[in-house]
Parts: sequence; structure tokens; C-alpha cells
Amino acid sequence: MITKFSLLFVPFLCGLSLKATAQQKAAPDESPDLAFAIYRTSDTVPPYDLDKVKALIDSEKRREKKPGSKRLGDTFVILPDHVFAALPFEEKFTYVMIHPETYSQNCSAAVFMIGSQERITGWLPGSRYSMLWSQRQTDFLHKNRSMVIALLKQEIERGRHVGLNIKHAVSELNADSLIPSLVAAFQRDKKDVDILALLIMLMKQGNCASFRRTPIYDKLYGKRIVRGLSMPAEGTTMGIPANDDNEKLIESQAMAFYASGVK
Amino acid sequence: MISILVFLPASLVSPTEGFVTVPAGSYQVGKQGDLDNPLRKVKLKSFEIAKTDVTNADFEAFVKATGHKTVAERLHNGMVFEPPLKEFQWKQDPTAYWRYPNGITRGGIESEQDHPVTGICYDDALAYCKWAHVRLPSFEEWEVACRAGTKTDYFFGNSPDQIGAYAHVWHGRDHMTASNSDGYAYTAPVGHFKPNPLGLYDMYGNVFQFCSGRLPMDHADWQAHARGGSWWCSRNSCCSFNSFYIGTVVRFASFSNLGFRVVRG
Repeated sequence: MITKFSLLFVPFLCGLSLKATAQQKAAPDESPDLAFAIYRTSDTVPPYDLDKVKALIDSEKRREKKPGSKRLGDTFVILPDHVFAALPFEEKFTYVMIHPETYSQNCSAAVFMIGSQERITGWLPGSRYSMLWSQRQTDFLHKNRSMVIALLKQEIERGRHVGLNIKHAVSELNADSLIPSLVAAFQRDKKDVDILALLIMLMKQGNCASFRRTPIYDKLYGKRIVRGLSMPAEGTTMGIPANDDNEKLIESQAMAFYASGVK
Repeated sequence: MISILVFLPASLVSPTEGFVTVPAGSYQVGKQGDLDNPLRKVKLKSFEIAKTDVTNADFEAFVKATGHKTVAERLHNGMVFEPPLKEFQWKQDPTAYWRYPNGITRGGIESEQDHPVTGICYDDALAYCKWAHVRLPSFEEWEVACRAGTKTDYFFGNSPDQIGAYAHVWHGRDHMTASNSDGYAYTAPVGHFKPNPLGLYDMYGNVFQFCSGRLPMDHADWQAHARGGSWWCSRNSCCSFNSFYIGTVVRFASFSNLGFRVVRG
């Protein structure tokens, strides 16, 4: 299983472009659970003007390292506003995908559990690198929604692992027009249960009425009352079993939702 | 005043109202199925852990004595919170640092000297510890002290229904509107809520507490970890106010819900 995962890893250039080199490949002694956690948090690196974007980030790092710089040097850099603004669309897309600019807080909705590869959750994991897109980066995604979705579609259909950054972008844009591409991607890579999580999220965000009536929805998002307090039914991490029945139900619900032409 | 503090032994500028001794022994930590913190037994030497988090007054003494400039003051990268914000969203505010943990426009800490210091990052906490001749607790030390002999998810059982008595957490449905139903919107004074059986305050709320240690998913050295829950945490979002969760954050990131407590020994 470890070998199978390692073939699918893609470099996470955010990590590379920061201080450290990301350790993407599972070490020989890593458990299947850890290998899966690394696999599911690996990102897609878009090819568009990648070298130029990396050079820009490196240039900014060198500038920040100058003596007297008030920054900490070889830590986190972001492109100045005028440089970011001047980037052509595809370079901006690559930059946003490989170089999130701000920090995520200490906690997240999803935690890494043993056996996660056998569960479908209603959430995507957070970035392994504890970084998030900044406001100007999410603004870029939304302001260029249709063009961004076109590039996301290309990346999803490229035939390799759909990176966590691509999944988060699909969710951020609520891009339910990509449902068929996502379903096809899951058929190619059935261990990527986070694609199913993303389909579930798209249906939830789109208020898909038929999906809301399924037991899956209730298990993932329903509430139970404990001594007067509202609690998530299954918690945020447990999810539901990744079995054929659940997979088929999610796929069929998602495709029906897409066919209904909600978007 | 400053010169007096400079020459005071660290033990006299102690960060807290006191320490509790945790005896050496073999302890159960972790949770079944948790990849970051699996259920296991650990052996620990005896250590002393502070009853409360390091306060703004404690941190001020450190800054006056050393002239320390925090990372947020140098990078202008403080992370602040002000509703309405979607779940898990924060804003970067260049004016935010420990004296203004949510930015200058949201007020300072002048009247909050007994609140936990926030707006500091992991490296600032390490600098404080070096000055005060203390250290951060390891993951295991923090958990053993928090559990106080219990094996449940909370030191008061397996249901979080009593959390409000022991911890300042977020009671709102989401983070789109402010929540100060327990009297505080951001931090609360340390020791305001009930302690755990060992006499430690705010183990599940107020601010996350930096710990030392590495997780299996870590890479390089630019991630840090904190435990225990915070005023931001709610049962509808992260639910991380418990005895087993270990959070991850960039070590240079300063949030207004991140603080620390210290140990000796």
C-alpha cells in the first residue's frame, strides 16, 4: 500500500517554497494509516508557468533575507501587492495553488484517525502545512470563478491524484459543475475517499433536498441532543464506512443533483 | 522598576500563582484510533506544572526585563478574530501583537493583566521560558496533568456537557455573531472557571497551550503544537477542548487564542 501511495505523491511546492522541504514520501517504516494521511494531504502542483512563479517566490525570499530586513528571513514570504496584481491569470492560479499566504489556527474540523482510509467524512482535512489562502487569494478565486473552474477541471481530469488544494478550491467556489469530473476521478482512484467527502459537501452547500433525506446526511451532519445540548451526530471525524453501498449512493445522489441543473 | 525585575531571580518573577507537582510514574495517555495521539502508556519523571497560564502581567515583566520584541511585532503577521467570520477563518492584522491581541482597533490589555497572554507565537513562548528558567510541557506531561488520573475524554467524564463550568469556550452556534454568554468574548481572567482535580485551571479553554513535541505528520521544524481548547472553540466546530487533541500551527504564527503554561523539573 505504501508503494502504491508513493507513486501518486506530487510535490507540495508551498512547503518547498517556504523554509523546509516537504517530506512527501512515506518512509519504509510508516504505517498504512500515516501513509494515507500524507497521501490525502498532498497537493496538486499546476504546471502553468510554474518555474516563473517559483522564481518570483525565491526572489522575494532573497529580498527578505537582506541585512536589516525586519522579517525573519528564511521563513514565510508573500509577493508584494504590485507583483501579485501584475501576474497573468494562469500564473496567479499557480501561485495561489502552491503558496497559501496565511496561517490556519491550532485546531481543525478533521483530525487524523487510524482507519481513515475506510471512512467517508463530511469534511476535508486541513492543510498538512497549517497554511490557508489569504483574502486576496480567495478574492482571486471568486473574481475569476469561471476561468478558475476551467483550470480545476483540467487538473481533476489530468488523471493523477486530485490534490487537497484542488479539492479546497472546488469547495471554496462551490463548483458543483465539476461533479461529473469528480465522480470520474473517484472511479480512477477509489481510495481517495475525500473525493466523496467533497461531493457530499457540494450537495450540502447546494441544499440538495434528496441528499438531505438520506441516512448518510443525518449521520454526518445531523444533530443529537445530549442533556439539552446539540451535538454532531457522528462527530466530525468518525464519518461513515467507505463501502460499496455508501459510495454508490453518494455518487448517484451527486450525479442526480448535477443533472437537476441546480447550477 | 525595570532594573529591579532584571535582577530578580526567575523564581521570584514566577509566571503563575503556583505549581502543582505531578509524581513520577507510568500513565495512560492518548485515544484509541487517534493517529496523532494513540492510546499508550508513558513513563514520566516528576515535574511541576503551573496552575494557570502565563498572564499578560507575567509577559510584561519578561518584556520589560529583556526588551524582547515578539515575532508579531517584527513580522506584523498577528492573526485576529472578529465576527462575522466563517468557521475556522481568521484575519491577519498588522497591528496585532500581545498588547493588542486582536489589533489596535479592538482594544488593548490594560485592564486584562490577569488574562492569559496571547498574540504571541511558539518562539516567543520559548524565549519567555528561557528567561524564566522554566520550559513548556511535553505532550505527555500536559496530558497527564490534565487527565489527573482519569481515562475519559474529559477529566469530568466522556460527555462535554459540563464544559462550561470548567472552561471558557465558545457557546455560539457558529462564529458569525459574537458570543460572550459566559461573560467573556475573547480571553477570561486565568483561574476564573473551575479547576481540574489536580487544581489546574483553564485546561480546556481560554487559550490553547503550547507544548513541546513532534507529531508523525510533522515535517522540518516550522510547525508547533498546542493543546487544551480556547475561547474560540465550540462543540459545533472543532470540539478540541478535551484531554487528547493535539493541534498544529505554524511556529511563527501569533493568534489571539494561543498562549502557554510552563513546567519545572
